[in-house]
Amino acid sequence: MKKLLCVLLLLPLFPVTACAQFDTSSLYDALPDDVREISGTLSEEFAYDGEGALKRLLDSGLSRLTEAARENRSTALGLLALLFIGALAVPFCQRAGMSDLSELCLTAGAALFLTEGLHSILAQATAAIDQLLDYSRAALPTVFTAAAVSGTAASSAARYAAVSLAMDTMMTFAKRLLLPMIHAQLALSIALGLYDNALLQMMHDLFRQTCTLAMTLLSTGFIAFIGITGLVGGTADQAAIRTAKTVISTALPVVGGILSDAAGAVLSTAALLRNTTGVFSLIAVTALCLGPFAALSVRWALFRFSAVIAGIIPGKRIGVLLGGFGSAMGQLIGLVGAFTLVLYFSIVCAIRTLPL
Amino acid sequence: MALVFKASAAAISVSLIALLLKKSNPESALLLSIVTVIVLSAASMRFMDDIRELLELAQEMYGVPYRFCQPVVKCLAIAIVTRFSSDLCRDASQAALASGVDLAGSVCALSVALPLITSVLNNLRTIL
Repeated sequence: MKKLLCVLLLLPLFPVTACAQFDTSSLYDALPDDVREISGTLSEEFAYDGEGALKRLLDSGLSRLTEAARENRSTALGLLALLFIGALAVPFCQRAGMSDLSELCLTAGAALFLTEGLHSILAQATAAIDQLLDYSRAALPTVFTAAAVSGTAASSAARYAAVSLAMDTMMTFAKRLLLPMIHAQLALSIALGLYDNALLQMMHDLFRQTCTLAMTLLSTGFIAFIGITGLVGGTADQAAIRTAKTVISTALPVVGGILSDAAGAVLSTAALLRNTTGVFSLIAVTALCLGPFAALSVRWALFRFSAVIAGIIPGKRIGVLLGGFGSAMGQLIGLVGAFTLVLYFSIVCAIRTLPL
Repeated sequence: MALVFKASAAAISVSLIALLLKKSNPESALLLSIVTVIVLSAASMRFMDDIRELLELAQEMYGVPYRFCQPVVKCLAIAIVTRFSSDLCRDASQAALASGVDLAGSVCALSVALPLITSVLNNLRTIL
């Protein structure tokens, strides 16, 4: 009895502080320097200045758009100059019965002028997709771990597995099927501009429609898969947490309720961590896409606008060329957008949980 | 602007004279037509300087390399020469010669376009 009393009296001398360390360095390490400047960092207490990041995002978006417009100014003016020269020359040649050949020369010249900057645009789109995939591999484990710590262990593990499968499958499809089809569309647009042929037109339309359908199916399918995957796990997580709270509070007569409330407080703090890492990742993904989206959008607008202006030239060859290029740029935007959408949805699923 | 009125007046006058000469001396009428066409074309060449300046402006300010515009301009020149020559041959009732000139013009225009098409095909290979 005396020994028990001594132990109870000395017990207050032995408590130590318990804490958990959460490493968020993987959220920053995968980001390029310019993106890190936009997204900012998490503080040691896992606080995040989301408003400031959004403002920097908006400013960066506007400046990237302006920069892309400035870079493409010479291409736009050169194209307009070519179209103007064509508008003067082709009608003259039409009267001499050489409109076909003059249109051919004009379209070939325009095709050569436009393909000079094409490789950099295609490389930019491919690099954007690679960056998104690398970031998903580096940052999503952190986000889903934070989600698991906040009490959704089963659903987070299932969702992360689904997201990894989705990103890898989409990357395989993108590199082996979609990007080659976009290259083929560009080549067929040039061929159609030079030589109007029904078979070439059918092939071009087939590639375009297949690309659009594939991107729609992939992104819709995987979003549904990720969403459904976490539902069952989420219900199980809820049940597990409620059961644990009930067991703790009923099994331990005096301190059970206190322990149960303490556990709830820990889960709420972990939920704050989960939300913070999720918001940071959303902003980081947006910042990663800004540059490529700006460049592709400006190019798309340039080709669409030029295709309309090409209506001043008799004949439709150069209009077909410019329309085909615009369509291919739209497909590239769609491809980068599909990856971004799946990532957004994954992160939002990680942040969003059902109330306990 | 004045050139248009002068050219129209000269062309109409020479047409009337050629019509009168055709009955007695058709060769002289044709020669008169050829000379008038050459004189009018030479007078129009002054304005080619403006077109050349436009192409140079396109090259300097807008970055359009001359090799992309050159085939179009050459096609235009071939079309003009072919059109004049074949019309003069038809005026001389030589339809076969006119067709020959048309064919020669088309072949020349195609040969002008061939280097461009070759470059486009090489670019297509790099895209694919």
